Amino acid sequence: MRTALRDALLEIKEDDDGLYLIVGDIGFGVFEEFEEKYKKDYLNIGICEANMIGMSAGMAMNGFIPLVYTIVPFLTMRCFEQIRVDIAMHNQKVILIGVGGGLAYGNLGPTHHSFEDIVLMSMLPNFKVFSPSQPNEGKACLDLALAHDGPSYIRLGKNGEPDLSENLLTEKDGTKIYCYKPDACDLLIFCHGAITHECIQASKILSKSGIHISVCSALQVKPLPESIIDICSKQKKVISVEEHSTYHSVGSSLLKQISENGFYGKFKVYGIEDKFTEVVGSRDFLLEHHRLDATSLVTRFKLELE
Amino acid sequence: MNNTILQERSRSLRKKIFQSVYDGNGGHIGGSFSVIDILNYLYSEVLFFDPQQPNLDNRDRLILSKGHSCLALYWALAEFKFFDEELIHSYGSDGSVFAGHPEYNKGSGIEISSGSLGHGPAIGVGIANALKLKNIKARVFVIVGDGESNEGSVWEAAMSAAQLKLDNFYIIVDNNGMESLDRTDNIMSIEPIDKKFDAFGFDVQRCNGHDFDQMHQSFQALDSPNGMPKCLIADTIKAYGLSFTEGVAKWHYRAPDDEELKLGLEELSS
Repeated sequence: MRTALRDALLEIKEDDDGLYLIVGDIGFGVFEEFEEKYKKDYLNIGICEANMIGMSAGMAMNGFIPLVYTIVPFLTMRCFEQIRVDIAMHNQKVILIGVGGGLAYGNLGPTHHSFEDIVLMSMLPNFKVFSPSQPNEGKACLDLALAHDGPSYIRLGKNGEPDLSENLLTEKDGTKIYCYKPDACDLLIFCHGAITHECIQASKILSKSGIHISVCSALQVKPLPESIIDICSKQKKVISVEEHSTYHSVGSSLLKQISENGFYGKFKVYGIEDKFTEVVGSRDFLLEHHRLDATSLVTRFKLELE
Repeated sequence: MNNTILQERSRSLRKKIFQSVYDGNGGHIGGSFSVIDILNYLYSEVLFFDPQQPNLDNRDRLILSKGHSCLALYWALAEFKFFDEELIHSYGSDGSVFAGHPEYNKGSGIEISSGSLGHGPAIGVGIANALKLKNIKARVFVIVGDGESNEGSVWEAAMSAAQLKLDNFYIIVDNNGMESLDRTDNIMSIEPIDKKFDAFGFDVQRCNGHDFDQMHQSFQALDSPNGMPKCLIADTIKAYGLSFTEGVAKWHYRAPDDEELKLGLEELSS
């Protein structure tokens, strides 16, 4: 996902000389071409996230569009108050790009995991938040962030995420429907980010048992597009599956909005429960540990439908 | 430079700040009185600006990172015609334009919202870097407090300023020696602060921040395009300018009572 975003950035940069890339000493093998081509507009500022955020705000105040890249917890949590004051309060057009959302950095351990970031960024006024599900959404994210006259946060996975086009039914405003249409399903799954793949896999497995699960993934998770509110409001059963804390999540916000829009069905949030991940392993292993892999989801979805 | 005019202006500004703190039932007198001579000197003698065109690309930027001293900034900006002083008169009342810390969109000349300490230097480095990249010959002056220099973000920004060779970036330490509750040396000493900035790659001067001649000499010595960011350690006294407030901890944040107001205005008028 990070290389797809890099490619999109290289493409966009050709037409926009105001873009300025700041990395926090992260991105080996990712940004070399950008650095080489646009030396003046690339800065490895070092390991100093508070400074990196303040500096990006200062540059945005003077005509640049800074894109700030590092690992999610360091980008969004280490310097949360700098983001709040320097970027959000001043409503500066800075694009924060976090790599390694959720459990993507698996066996690097819990300091490198992130299950709080999306809600933290979503709470900040002026911010738009994006959570791409697959590499080919990188360009759309950047386009939407650049079209927004204010700050954005893009939460990436890491690398190796599969293309999900095969099961795609419809797409509108970045909202994608996979496997079954929402008006012809037993259960609707709302999701965003790389976990969408697990949801689609679970739906495909269950389809063999005649169970129809529609998977609705959002690219923009704050604000949620009207289309998602409309789709989910009409459902009897919705489960929000997220690589994020269940304590507060995009699902919490979705539930609030659909409740205000006439939803009277059943709603659940699956994600990372209220504890740090104590076991060590790859993302796949940790997804299984948190019962978020496709096989676990199949079991859980079945139970919900009993 | 006319020392008499500057002294008279500072005296007048202190009087207005003192009245505002009384009217608004509270304010950071200590830090406002320690920094007002620095602000007065900068707006009078150093900064390029046009209050009629506050967003000129090539204006010098002044960032009051120690935002709690906002009354000094409000009154300095009014003095230099950025806005009408009427705006300040509602300070401290419900619905006032101005809060107890500056907000960037609440009056021209206020470059950033500050109040959470340690933010100004990094924003200033970003502005200075942008100006350099755009070949705009303007400078950025960031005023921090000595207590504020406890914040690690001040030093992160200092390292970046030197790394990026931002000789258009100035950091001025209003070194009044006191934090909110006690003397800085008793909490987390920042000394030797001049040697610290020197070691961080800054061109450093140190002087009495209430002495206009000394500040003049220091800024002249710093005015060199040598690839080094600049630092002035302005040694000041908290709540300077009134005999009964100078260096007294309780005047960090306080409203004078009726008797203190009378005494203060008399002393600042004599």
